[in-house]
Amino acid sequence: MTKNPSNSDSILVRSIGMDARKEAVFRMAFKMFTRRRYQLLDTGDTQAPAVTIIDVDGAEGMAIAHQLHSEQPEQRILLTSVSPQADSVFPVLQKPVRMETLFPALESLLNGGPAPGKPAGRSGATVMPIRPEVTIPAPATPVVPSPAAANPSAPKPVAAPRLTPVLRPEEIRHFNPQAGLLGLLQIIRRDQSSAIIVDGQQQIILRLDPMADQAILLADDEHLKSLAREEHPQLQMRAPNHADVPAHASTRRLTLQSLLWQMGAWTADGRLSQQLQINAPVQLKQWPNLTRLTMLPDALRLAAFLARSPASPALTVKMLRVEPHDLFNFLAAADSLGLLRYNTAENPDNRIQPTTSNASTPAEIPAAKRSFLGRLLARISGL
Amino acid sequence: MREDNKIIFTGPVGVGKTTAISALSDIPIISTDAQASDMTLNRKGHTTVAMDYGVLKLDENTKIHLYGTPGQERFDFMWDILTTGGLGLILMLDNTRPNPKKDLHFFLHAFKDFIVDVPVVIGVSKTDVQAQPQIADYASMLPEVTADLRMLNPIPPIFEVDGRNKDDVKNLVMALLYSIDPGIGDQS
Repeated sequence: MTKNPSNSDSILVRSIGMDARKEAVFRMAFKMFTRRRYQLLDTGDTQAPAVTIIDVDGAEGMAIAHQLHSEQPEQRILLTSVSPQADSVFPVLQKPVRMETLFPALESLLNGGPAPGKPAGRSGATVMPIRPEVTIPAPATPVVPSPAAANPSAPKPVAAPRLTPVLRPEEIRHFNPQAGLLGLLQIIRRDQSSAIIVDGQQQIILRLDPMADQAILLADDEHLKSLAREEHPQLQMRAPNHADVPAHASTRRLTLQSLLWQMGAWTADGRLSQQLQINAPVQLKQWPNLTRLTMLPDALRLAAFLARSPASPALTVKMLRVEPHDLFNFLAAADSLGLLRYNTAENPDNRIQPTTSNASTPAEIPAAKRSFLGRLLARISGL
Repeated sequence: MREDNKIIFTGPVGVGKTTAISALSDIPIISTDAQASDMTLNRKGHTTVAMDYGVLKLDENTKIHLYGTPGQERFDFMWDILTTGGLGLILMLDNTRPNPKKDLHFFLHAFKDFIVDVPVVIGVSKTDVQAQPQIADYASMLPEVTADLRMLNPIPPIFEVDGRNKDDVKNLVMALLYSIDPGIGDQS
């Protein structure tokens, strides 16, 4: 593990009661957070920390916290626990610790917030949304249109050096994934019953067989794309019959999953789903089957990032420097296939799950290896 | 300084490992095939009895060694040797085999020490011949199959692949690289 050089600007943090894996997670979080420079002290480092974070789920966790407070009354103490006690005298973060709550809690402590000896409420920390870091106002970069389904698995060439995208929350547009054509497709997928969708002139647009994962398309991509972007298109859904698709009709066949994925991205059209929040975490339940779906821009990177651990859209843009509209399209496409977890009151089964216990800790990637991997990626992409 | 790295392709007999390596290799693949003499004969006439070997060159001094393990379980004694210095594991599964879940379990456990430190990606072949299990089924199997394993990426990519399709193979490898570091495409 690379040890960060100590720096007079660093805010030193000590951890107590954590194994190497948990410490590695904190190190990664500190590295990802650029507004302030936090540094987790190594074991044996005798520098005085500004804050001590204690995992109190161990046998003597609370006793250690109280002992530290009695010996060093000025020391700022932050606890982590899977079951925070409402009457804790120290601020407590619910585990799994999220960046969205960790840094506001640290900021609060450093600014003289909930101090030891004062009840801090259930969560302890004042939870404030972290607004995405907006650094360099980049000039508008060209939007790469999603390729048509003609060659869905063709890898996208590795992009040239990219500018830091700008995410301005006030400019984010939203869409309702339960409305319009996408909403109808979701109903068909959910109910697993065959259906056809007709337009206002009773022309058949789609014939769908969710049990067989099949879709027959009787409209071209441009027509479907324009329908996807209408929130209230004149569409109807009804049960199919054998005469719906004449033998001579020009049709295309896709898997229903491919259609849903593409319609999710077209419907989003650079907008964020109403069901997602810019600062709330999302996670992939599984990778999309990207060799058989339209390869959206940055889809492989986004899938790798969001399968690894939950991250908010704001954090994802910041960490991967992806264009927000590409991220929003990817999220919409993944959500259309039911591949996303996020916390909503309506669907408690879809809540973000704690980090799996069988995950090993990713080692920090040295710069030389990153460079090597980047060259290898470019080589593979160009084959 | 010479830099050598490995990507390991594994999976059961006839799944398409040799073809996948051929799609990437800069040299004609060095394959130690032999006439199959046992039950393997039922699936293909020739099979890899030691390993397949291909090379992807980044520059004069940097090569990526592409190794394909034998598909037959009796050769698993050599897999530890193969994996030393590996970047990751590409596990290819054959959807027409009688019990793909058993294969998934076998190969992930055979490489259990390797995949603690490196990512695994899973390619499922012959889904055009046998549609079940689907990709979602494999994803559902994973928690049970890997319950006693530690993995760098517990939610690995699972893609349908055809080893003859270069784009499929490229996507598998690119997913492997992004699983090591999702930030590598960001060259700013």
